[in-house]
Amino acid sequence: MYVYEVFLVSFIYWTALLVLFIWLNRRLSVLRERIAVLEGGKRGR
Amino acid sequence: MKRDILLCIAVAVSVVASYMAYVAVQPVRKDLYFSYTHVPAALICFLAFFISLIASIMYLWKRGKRYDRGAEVSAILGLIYGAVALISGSIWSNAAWGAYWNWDPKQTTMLMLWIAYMGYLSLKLSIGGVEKRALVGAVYNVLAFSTIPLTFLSVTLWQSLHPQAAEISMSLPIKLTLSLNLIGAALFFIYLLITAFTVWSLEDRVNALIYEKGEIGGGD
Repeated sequence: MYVYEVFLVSFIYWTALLVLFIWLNRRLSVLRERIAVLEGGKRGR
Repeated sequence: MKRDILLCIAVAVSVVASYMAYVAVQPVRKDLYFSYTHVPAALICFLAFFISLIASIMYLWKRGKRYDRGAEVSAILGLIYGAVALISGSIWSNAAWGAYWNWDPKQTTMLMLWIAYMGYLSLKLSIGGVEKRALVGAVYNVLAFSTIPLTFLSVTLWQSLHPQAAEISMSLPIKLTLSLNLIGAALFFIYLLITAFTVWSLEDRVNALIYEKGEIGGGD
């Protein structure tokens, strides 16, 4: 009873958190790389 | 590094909670399985909006930019958790009451709360000046928080299908499982909040560096 619905709710909950987790960490690494490049360029000037 | 430790603890607690929820503890009422995801999502949504309120009050008091950022980041996370709570609630509603949407006071006030906070983000996006945007956003955020007590009180103020917390009788293993789920969800939320705040701070740093280098309009 309710197996499909419970699975669906769990899937939505964990997918939302996982997508948020992956997106934030990817954005974090991109920004850190960008800062390293910008600061490298600043020092090089 | 501290964030990673927090993440490891959150994952460990969540794994134990999942094991208890779906394998070790078998509730008599099978629809209680929904509570393991719906309740944490709803409570974390309220926690996020509460943190956002505190940050907005701090902004109005101290006028620090980081408080405005904190309020915004927390509200965005609250909206995501709120959306999950609304969707999981309507699926549970369909299973227990026979319809996805009943215009039940709890469902309706929760939707109002969600729309009020979407309004907060829309308002912030629509105002150009940084100072004005932060000030108007903080005032709106304090007003929007009034929808949270309304959501809590909706069950007692009006006739509602949604049970009150005190009405639900749960055995000790189920309470323990739910508590573990709540702890895991709260730790994971704190991790996401710190990460999101770091991302927004780094974006400011990148913008400042681009400005220093005179690259406005030339960056991505």
